[in-house]
Amino acid sequence: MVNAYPRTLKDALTLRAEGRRPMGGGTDLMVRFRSAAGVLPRFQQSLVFLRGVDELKNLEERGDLIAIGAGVTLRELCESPLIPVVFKNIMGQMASFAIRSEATLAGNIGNASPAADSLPFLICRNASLVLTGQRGDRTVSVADFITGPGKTLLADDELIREILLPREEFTLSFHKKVGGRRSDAISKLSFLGEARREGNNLFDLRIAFGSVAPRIIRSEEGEALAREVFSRGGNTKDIEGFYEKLITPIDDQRSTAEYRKTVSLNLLRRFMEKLREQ
Amino acid sequence: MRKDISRSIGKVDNREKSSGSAEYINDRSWEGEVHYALTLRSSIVKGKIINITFPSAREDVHIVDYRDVPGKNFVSILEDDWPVFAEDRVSYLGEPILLLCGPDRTVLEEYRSRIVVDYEEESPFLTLQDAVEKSDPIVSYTIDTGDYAGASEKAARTVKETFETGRQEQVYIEPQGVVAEYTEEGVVLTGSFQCPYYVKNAVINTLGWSGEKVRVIQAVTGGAFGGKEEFPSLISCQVAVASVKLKKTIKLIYNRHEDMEVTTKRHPSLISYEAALDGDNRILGVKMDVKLDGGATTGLSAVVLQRAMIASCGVYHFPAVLATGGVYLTNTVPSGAFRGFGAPQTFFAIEMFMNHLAAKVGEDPVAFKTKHLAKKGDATSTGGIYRDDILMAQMIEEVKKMSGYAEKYRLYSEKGNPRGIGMSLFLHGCGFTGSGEADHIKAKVYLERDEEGRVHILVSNVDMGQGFKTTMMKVVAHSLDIPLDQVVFNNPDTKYVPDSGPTVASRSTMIVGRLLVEACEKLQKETGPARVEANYSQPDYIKWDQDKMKGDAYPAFSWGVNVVEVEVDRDTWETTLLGAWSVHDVGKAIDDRIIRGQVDGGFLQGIGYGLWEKMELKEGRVQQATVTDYIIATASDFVTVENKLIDNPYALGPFGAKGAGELTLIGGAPAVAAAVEQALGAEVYRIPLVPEYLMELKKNG
Amino acid sequence: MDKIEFTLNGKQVSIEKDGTARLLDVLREDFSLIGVKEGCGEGECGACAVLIDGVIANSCIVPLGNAQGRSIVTIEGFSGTARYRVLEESFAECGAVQCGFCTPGMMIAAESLLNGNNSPSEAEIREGISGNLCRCTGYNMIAEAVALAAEKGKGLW
Repeated sequence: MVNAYPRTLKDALTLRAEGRRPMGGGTDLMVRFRSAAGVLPRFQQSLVFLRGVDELKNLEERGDLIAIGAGVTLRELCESPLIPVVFKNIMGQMASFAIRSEATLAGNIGNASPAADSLPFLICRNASLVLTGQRGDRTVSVADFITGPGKTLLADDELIREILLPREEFTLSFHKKVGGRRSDAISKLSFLGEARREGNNLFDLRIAFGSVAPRIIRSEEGEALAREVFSRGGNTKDIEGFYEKLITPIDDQRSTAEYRKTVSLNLLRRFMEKLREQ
Repeated sequence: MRKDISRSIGKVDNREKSSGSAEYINDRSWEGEVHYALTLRSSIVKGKIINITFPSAREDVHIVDYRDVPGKNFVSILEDDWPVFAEDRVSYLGEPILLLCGPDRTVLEEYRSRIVVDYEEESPFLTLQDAVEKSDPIVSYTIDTGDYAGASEKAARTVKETFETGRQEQVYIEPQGVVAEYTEEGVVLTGSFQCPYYVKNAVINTLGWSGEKVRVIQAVTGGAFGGKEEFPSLISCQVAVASVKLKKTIKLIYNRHEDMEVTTKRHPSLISYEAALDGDNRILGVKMDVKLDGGATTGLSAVVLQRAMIASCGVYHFPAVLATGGVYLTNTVPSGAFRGFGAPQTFFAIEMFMNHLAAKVGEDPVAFKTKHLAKKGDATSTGGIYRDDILMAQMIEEVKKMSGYAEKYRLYSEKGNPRGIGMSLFLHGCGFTGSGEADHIKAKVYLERDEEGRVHILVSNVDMGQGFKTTMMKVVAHSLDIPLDQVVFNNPDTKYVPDSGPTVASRSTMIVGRLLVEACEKLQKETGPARVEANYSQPDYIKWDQDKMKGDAYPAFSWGVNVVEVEVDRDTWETTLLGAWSVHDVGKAIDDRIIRGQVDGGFLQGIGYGLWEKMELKEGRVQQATVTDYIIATASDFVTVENKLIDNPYALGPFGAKGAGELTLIGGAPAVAAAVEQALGAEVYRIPLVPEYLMELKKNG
Repeated sequence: MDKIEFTLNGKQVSIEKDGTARLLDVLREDFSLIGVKEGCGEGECGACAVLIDGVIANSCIVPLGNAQGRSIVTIEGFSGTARYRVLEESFAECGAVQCGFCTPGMMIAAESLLNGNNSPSEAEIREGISGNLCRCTGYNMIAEAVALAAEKGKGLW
């Protein structure tokens, strides 16, 4: 089998169904499969290059949603007026300009790294994916799509077609990426807390943690508890105690489990303080 | 061109480097067929090689191992303990066993992946602590100046502390590389080198050939920082053996991962200090011990240890010094040369120790340090004499003014303040330790005027980015009062240049530059085409006893003061730099801007050593073996440095210049560590101060 | 073998090669463009930076197949421009070049930055070159050089 360079989505799906691995910007795959200088990367399958498929480059408002085609790069998203500022800031801390110019959002999702920086946001915002195959389209939430490190619901004959991001307003978005340096870093952990507060009424509150468990942590129960603690002016220790059980990080070359857990909870506390002060 | 020599000029190699036309070792094209070389490495930490099973032989894959070495299978450094190729045993993970050579890299990679090596594993030493507990040092020294036992008896109190420093990786942006060409005259090695004659001597030893058959040429070198001091000798010996065996051009270029896993690192250290203080809180003497992790081979460790011990007094004068030290071997990647060469470890320890002592006796750290500053005429740690003016007091005042140190220090002393400011004082001895220059190096330079009146600089020292070419060309142009474009300085080629020594030890400008000035004086007496030479001779007053570590360890010292201001996030324990200031005495700058380049770059490497650059081994394997995981700073992590140079010309340096390359790194770690201590409100005893460590410190009190 | 066609330094080129080959290897080995350097091979150091359709990208992690139909400019192509000359002068004037191995990539980063923002702040400059690792300079003289180029090159970007 040989690599393929389709121009239409229909062709891309046919080629995908033949068993080819999809290639978007390549910025993750080329690292994961790299070999040595002058030696081809160790891909075990042929590839279907998606860059030439214009149908995947859509970026538009669609009712209450923003639809982001799988071929749209992080750079294009950072420059688009449609994208919420908090998300632009998150993407602006991913790798470097030279990677964001080629990397796609769909690729960051599809590679399903627990350290993927776009995921806490997308999961906080209840974003979903349109997966497309020869049998048709299906929509799954980003949260459900990722089943474990490097594991997703994408079938062997499917492609991510687009990301659907609900348009929502929050009065507070607190995001913190903790990496080894200010740029060009992989997350040791990340935190996102968002809320919509008007006066003493808290209408919405969402919390997500990245890089501290096999999957992004988001919990309805935890968020309900946080809302409840907020309304009665209670101690955030209760919320921390709840999340502490969900946060199950690892020791690796970038950080320690203990650090990841402690700092995640510190950031949760900081978020709750910010919410109070708002 | 007779104006103030310090006035900056454009560097002579700016254009070729900016436009991408400069040819580094991986960029050159070679005549005839090139064979690439790939290294098969030990996959265990320590043990015997029982058997190696190769896939079926192929015409396009050639194996080169220890049996092909015609001379000695050791890299000639200080001791014969660094094999060119492992023979029957391996002593660290990644130790080279053999080379695979051939025209097709894909074939080589595939072939290598199918080689099976059977080992009989042995129990290794994985950490310095381990080796200290279970083995003797392979080399040890004692410095005994004054009477520490007496001082300790007289003391009102003694204070003891222990410090620990980690590995540091050079991360020159151009990975290691060398090419060996087989010619009728012999073998030619071209590569990314700091020390062409180290390479030449090592290859002579390994091939068992006479000197005229080995030629070494320095390619444009993409950074080195000590990492290309002794390591290139190893890979040059390997490709030389391959080239002679196969009668081919052999090209060996490391990728980043390989480079980070197997090339030399800065020595990890354990350092303890004890101070004897009198009733007025003056230090009567210090007892110091330093233990270095040499990794799996001796390499340059003995000399690194000497530097670390000679720095025991920092910039201070203590009436009594008792310093002991040892190098221990572990089954880890060899430690080696890295800018500072033992001094950064000791300066972290002594500067933190002085801060802690000041706190214990209730004095301001800078005031406490100032009371103990060495002055002209004082004895050095080794009982030599500081012969030249020491301007540290003035430099401290200067840096205080620039940084607003006093006020910030007061402000940040308030409990709970997230900010801190720290000052470090440091020096660096210029040139080889003791009588090394006279006894071992015996530098020689040539200067040649050709028919067109151009003057050629013929020395073996290299420009690896530090601006040595421009610096030396200025020295010669000024000395002869000729325009710069009349001076030629090509990359060293041992066929033409004499051995003026390696490009290390902050010696090149001071020692080799001085010889070029002497050569210029001789050349001025000649008319028309001529070649003159100059040879190093040690000043008569320098006396050194290597066994006793007694006397003048260095002919001259460069001095520096750093201030760093930080903020520590109490939720994430990340440290953010807010400001950085420096004042240096490098004698006289040959070019202000080139020195500023050394200051900025060295300072950031020093801060990185103190703050971010963590390299740990797990079961003998480097965990941070990529630039993704090993954290060197980006442009966003640093701040603009306000820098000042104080002129203090050195009589024996060219135009008064002393060494500057290593000095600038040494103060970074202790300055940033002092700042972090203040921000944290806790004392630190080890670097790097990664957030994980700061969190732990705060949690455990 | 895949047939990939693209514009390289202004010229239309075509190459038959597996599309998963690193663009870096193709540029260096098939087109002899040695100004494009390999520093890390994993998209982290920026020594291999090129402009793709006018924007910086790390050629070590761009598969050749993704170059199809696009315009690639390496330092060799960029160095023929007026913008380059201003950058080169500014780098020299500020002492921004030491070992030089990162310098071509820095030039590309500066061009990409100034192309999108012709009067960047210091923070924007630092961010703009933060994907390019340099171990010699401590970056300050490079950041100053980019600021100087923006000033000197008014009207060019």
